[in-house]
Amino acid sequence: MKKLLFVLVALLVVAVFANGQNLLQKLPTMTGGVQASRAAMLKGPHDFTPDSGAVNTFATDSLGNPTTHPTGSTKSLCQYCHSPHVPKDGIANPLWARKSLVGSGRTWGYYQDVNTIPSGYVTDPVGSDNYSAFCLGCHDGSTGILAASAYVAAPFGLTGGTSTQVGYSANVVSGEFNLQHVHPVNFDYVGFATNNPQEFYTPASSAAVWSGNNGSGQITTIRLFGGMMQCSSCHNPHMNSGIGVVYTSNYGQLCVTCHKK
Amino acid sequence: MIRLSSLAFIVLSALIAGFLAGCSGSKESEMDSRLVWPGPPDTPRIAYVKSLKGEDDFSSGLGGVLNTIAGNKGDIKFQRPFDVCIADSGRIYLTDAMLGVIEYDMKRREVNPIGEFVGVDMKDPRGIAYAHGKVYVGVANLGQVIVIDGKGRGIGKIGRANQFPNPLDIVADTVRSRIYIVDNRRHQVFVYSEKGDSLFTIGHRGSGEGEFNFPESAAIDSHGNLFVVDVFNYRIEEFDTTGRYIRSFGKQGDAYGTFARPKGIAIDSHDNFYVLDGLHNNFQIFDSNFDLLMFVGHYSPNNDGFQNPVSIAIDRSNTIYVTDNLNQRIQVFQLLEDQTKK
Repeated sequence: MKKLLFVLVALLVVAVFANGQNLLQKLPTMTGGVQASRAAMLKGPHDFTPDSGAVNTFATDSLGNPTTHPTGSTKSLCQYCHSPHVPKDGIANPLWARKSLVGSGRTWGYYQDVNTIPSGYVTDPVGSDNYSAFCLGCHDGSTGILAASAYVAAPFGLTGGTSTQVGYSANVVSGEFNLQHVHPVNFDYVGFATNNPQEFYTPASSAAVWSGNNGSGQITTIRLFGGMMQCSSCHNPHMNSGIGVVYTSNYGQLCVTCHKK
Repeated sequence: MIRLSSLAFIVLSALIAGFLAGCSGSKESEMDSRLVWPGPPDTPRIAYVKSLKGEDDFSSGLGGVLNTIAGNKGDIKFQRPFDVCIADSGRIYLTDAMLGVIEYDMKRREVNPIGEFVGVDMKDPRGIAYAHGKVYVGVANLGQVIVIDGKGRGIGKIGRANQFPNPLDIVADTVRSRIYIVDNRRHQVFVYSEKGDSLFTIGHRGSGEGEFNFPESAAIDSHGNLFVVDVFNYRIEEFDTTGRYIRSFGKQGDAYGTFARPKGIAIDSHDNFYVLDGLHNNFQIFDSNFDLLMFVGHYSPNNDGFQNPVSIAIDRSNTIYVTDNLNQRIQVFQLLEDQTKK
């Protein structure tokens, strides 16, 4: 009787453990969420693990997703930008490894499009955290460089371009880059679109995920953050190459998600 | 006597600040002239002195009038200041991601773009250093260091084409007539003589002792030892003059004494370390045992803080210069001398 009980308990333990194992094994095959981000980031431009520059061989599952990181369990991939759970003075979502910047009164003249966006829209409404500040913490004009040719080609048709790192000048007309003109960030899109409804699509809400319009229907890949357009509205930092544009820019498709043209 | 000189400094700086405030007529400036760290009731050790923003800094007073007559109209405004170095006699040089290389002369009250006569395209300048009358500029689009003389003429190159794909910092060791080139993409420090002869290299990518993961900048102490900011290992590594690893300190975090985006480092005449952090938006001061003494700054568009500060430099009189990237300015502070004696 005792033996039977022991066997039953053992079976139960094995079953629970196996179930847990199954769960763990299933995680890397998930197509969305954190695991997808992790898989996409490995060896990409935002993989800052110290030996990611080396030629690594990843163990992969049946779908080709990496299941282990070759640098071993002590090397964290996410810590460079995210802190486990809620960091001190931090932000619950998306767990930034920095303090919240709500209400610090910043203005970035450099990222205000003085030609097309009236003043007042590139500021930080109370309650909206400035996500772009995190990006610019590294992309300060010195890093995040791409081959100029990759950017100078379609879709913008820029010619004579020079550097493409965030923070450098970019001006479509003159062929120089001036991000003031083409990359306004920390920009109150909801407020601007609401006041200019004939020109811009107004999202249903200023919730984190905006269903933009692509002419034939809604898309959900353009994200606003508290109604604000930030770097990550159009660029996905969890990418393995390129500049992580979240939606195709072919034939103006990215443009008309916001512009009514 | 030391106390007296310090007092004299405070009075002098208050006078200067008062003069500047009087010129601009701004209440805020008057308040800023009394910005010190730590605040009362503690003994102040660091004082805010002024902000450098470009040609407009010299548009008031007699010199400003002369400049206006001479045709300078305040055209040069810092846009994305990146690295700064200190030449002698009140001159500094800086690199700006949009403007290129700039000479800022406080004595002659001039701001001059350097590069017209250099003869090479320096559109992506990064680190900059000054030694023995020459300016050394790391140029990313060339992958080389360009040597410029006092008249702004290009007089030499260091390195092969694309040898330093992102030379974020150049450090001059004037005693040994060396320059150190910190390359963020090769994860390595290159050591050259001022004449341009390759001496040796330090490190490669990794997380072990003497290795780097996106090194950003460096500084040398009074012994000639090199301290490298190793950004994504969240630490400072020390090397001796032969490139041998000695020790390191630091870890990731948002507590006092930890780093989030350590970017700049400078060392004062007492061998205290000033580590500038782009996400903490402050510089933390450590003594030579790496014990934290204090910190200055937070996220702010005002003179009490920074928005994404990038590099820090300290001159012989312990005046501190910080390039405040998104605020488009250089913030100047003064170490209040005797206060840091232990």
